Amino acid sequence: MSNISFVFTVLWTSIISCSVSLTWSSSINSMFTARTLIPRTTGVDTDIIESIAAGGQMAMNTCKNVFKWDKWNCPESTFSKGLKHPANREQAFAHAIISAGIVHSITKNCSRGQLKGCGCSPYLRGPASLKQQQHLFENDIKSYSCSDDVEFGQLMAKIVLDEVERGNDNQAYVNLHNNFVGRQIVQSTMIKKCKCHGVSGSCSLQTCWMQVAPFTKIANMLQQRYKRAIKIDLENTSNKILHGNSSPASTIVERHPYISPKRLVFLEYSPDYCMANSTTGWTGTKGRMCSRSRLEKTSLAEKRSCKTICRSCGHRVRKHKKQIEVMCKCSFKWCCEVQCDTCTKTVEEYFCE
Amino acid sequence: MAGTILENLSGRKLSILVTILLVCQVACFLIGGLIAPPPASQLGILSTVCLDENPGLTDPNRWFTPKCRPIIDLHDPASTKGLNASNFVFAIKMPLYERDFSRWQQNLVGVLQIDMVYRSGEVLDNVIELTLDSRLAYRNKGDPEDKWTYYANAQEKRIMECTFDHQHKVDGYPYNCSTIPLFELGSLHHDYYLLNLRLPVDDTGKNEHLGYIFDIYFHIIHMNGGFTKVWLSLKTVFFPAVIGIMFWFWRRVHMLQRTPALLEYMLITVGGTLAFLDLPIEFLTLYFDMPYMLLFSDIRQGVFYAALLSFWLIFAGEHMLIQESPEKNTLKVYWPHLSGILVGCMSLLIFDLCERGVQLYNPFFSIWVTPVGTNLALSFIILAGISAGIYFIFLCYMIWKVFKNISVKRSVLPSMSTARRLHYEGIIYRFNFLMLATIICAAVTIISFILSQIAEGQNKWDENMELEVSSAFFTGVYGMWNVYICAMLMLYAPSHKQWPADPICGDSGEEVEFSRLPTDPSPNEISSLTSFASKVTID
Repeated sequence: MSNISFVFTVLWTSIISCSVSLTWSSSINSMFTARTLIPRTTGVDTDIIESIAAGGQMAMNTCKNVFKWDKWNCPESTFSKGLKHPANREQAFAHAIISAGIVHSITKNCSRGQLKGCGCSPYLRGPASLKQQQHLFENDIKSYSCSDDVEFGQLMAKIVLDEVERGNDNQAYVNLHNNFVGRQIVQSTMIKKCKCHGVSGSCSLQTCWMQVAPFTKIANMLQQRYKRAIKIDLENTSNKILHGNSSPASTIVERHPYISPKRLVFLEYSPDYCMANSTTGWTGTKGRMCSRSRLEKTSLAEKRSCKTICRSCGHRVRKHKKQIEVMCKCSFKWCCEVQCDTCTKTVEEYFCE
Repeated sequence: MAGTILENLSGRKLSILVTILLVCQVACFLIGGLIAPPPASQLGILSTVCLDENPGLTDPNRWFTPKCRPIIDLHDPASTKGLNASNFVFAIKMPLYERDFSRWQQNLVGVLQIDMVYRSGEVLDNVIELTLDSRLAYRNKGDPEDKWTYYANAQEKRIMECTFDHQHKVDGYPYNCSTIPLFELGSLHHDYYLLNLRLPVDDTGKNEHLGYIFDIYFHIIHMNGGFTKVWLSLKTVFFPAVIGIMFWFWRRVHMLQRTPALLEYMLITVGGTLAFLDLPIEFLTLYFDMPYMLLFSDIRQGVFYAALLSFWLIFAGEHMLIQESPEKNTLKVYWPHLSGILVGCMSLLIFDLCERGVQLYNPFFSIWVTPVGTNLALSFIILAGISAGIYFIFLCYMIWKVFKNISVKRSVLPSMSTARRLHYEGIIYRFNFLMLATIICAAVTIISFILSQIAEGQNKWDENMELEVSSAFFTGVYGMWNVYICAMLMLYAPSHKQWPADPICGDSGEEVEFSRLPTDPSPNEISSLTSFASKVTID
């Protein structure tokens, strides 16, 4: 495990060098999985890189799902590293969810036994040799616990994401904080499960463990935090220091006031998402689809979507009928979709005009 | 001569003895709290889904390891296209992270956690019946990488309870499902284990109520090697000590010119069951495969507690101070009292044999799955509970009667002759001493049990704590009952003091010594109860 730190050095330098020109969104997979980035001879564990990529991808997909019926619908450009993003509420969410996605993905793959260097307590992760680790596993020094290893995922996410924020300004501080919120939320949403296995199966002996929550649940929690995010006003003195480029990033943290680790923070108010903005690549809400589904299972956000996306922006809602072929009368069984018919259905779609 | 050592011991000697015992006791708690790791630990493993192209094959030596190819991604609909649930094999290799099991880890409990997510339009029952086809194999360190040896195989049903938060009715939102106990291995003899799990479907409706499975977690729980070492060391120390004290006690009884009294038989029985419990037979598991160890240690504990409960009952009965006949009591007199204990212990034994006994043949067996089994198990447990209740009511009633008699006797004590008064006081003192010790021990057991449950129940409470509460509970309570029985054997052994007793400590007259009655009619009878009984007739 001693070459782990070396691996990370290689990893993040390659990420940073790539991040200048590449975007998170379109090429996230190619960015991390491109094995050419890291010479094979170094023996780098490509599984970790793939987990990071998968986590980032999952975070972006989930973000789109979560904000599907909102004015801001988490477009791919949010994650593009090439553009200069204002530190607004949406960017705060984006930073947090990418961070959480990476932690989540690495943690799960670690539990699958796919990743080298993770597992159980920090004792077992450190520089201990395999023999020492085996000894610890057998005898269990204090507080050895093999719950999902979130700390390892947090460490990875910190290395991958925080290193990119090399600026020494307020925006870097805000981004770092939101990354932190994302890393923490995976840990704080963990679910506790217990099992009794004492005499005759009684609870005289009980063992509990923590397990990461499914990512959809974490994303929903983050969405709540997005709604309660706060704007902070920081003295803008740091910009002067920034040009000198001499002070380490840690000085920012010391200078800024305490912010709750549960709060997402932003510096600027969000722009009017009704309007298109060429500099950020935002296309406005015109032409967006909304939903008038009134079924019982429909979520509140979806029921209100035509109001939020179209009418509040002054657009009219245009109904569009079209015939589509869908799979119907499917009986979903474990496993896999079975016994589906194809039927033609007229669907009504609504667009902002 | 009559009476026990307890009455003849000077206050100073008694306090020294009690101090030594208390130090042993505290040491046991501290060993658990400071040296031992937690009793058990767990490891969570996420299963790898392998593709079985020929699910119809029943060859028991086809094994799928997590290194199988291709791997199916259940999150990706394209990956499962055209496949059927019977094609999926959930492969789990234990343990993870290039480690191997040690025999010090004693036993293995496997628990499944199925993560299901919501699919729009889907309606799931809250209670889902699963059919699990599980196969277990093992491998040892020297074996080739792919040589897995068959261990067990079963198709078992399990019940899973799932709840769903209807506020978040979106695709992909998780159900909250209960964990499913899968197997229990009484011995952890091999280095690696491999579980192949299938959730097959067929026309008979197996697994048809399952929803969209996202992931299957498998949690294994095993004892901690470090804890087993501490535990066995304790046993190794206690076992010869208890045997030695028993030997000493029995020699003392036999030095008297009489047959042993009932209470002495009871004491030696309790000591014997304790020695049986202390016997560090677990050392053998390091060399032999002994899957019956779980059942065996359950039985050992059961036998000990049955003997202890019987002892308390008989002790209270023998101190009633109202003996009708001067004849010596036998166990027969107490059979209605003891039948409660017998019924309770037998029903617990049958329950244990039904669960852990059957698990010797099929580690995946659980009595709780079928309604008949559940009812059977519940009725045995309820029966045991009822007998425990009856026992405690009865014991309390007897103790209350003893105290009533004591207070009656106390009121007439001043009018008695000094010798007789000392005699009564001796009996009362003996009884109160045991009562006090027992109540303290029981209270400590209950309090530490609750504390360890709270410690386990709280999320991250003990993360930075130096004290390992549940280990302290185990070693402390175990040590406490050992100390308790040893103290009983030592203090309630027949005294050698001849009447008139030699003053043991003459330096201060304040220390009370209980002298024997000058008119003791049966000098070869130790039990002052019988001697008391004859005095009743004199009175």
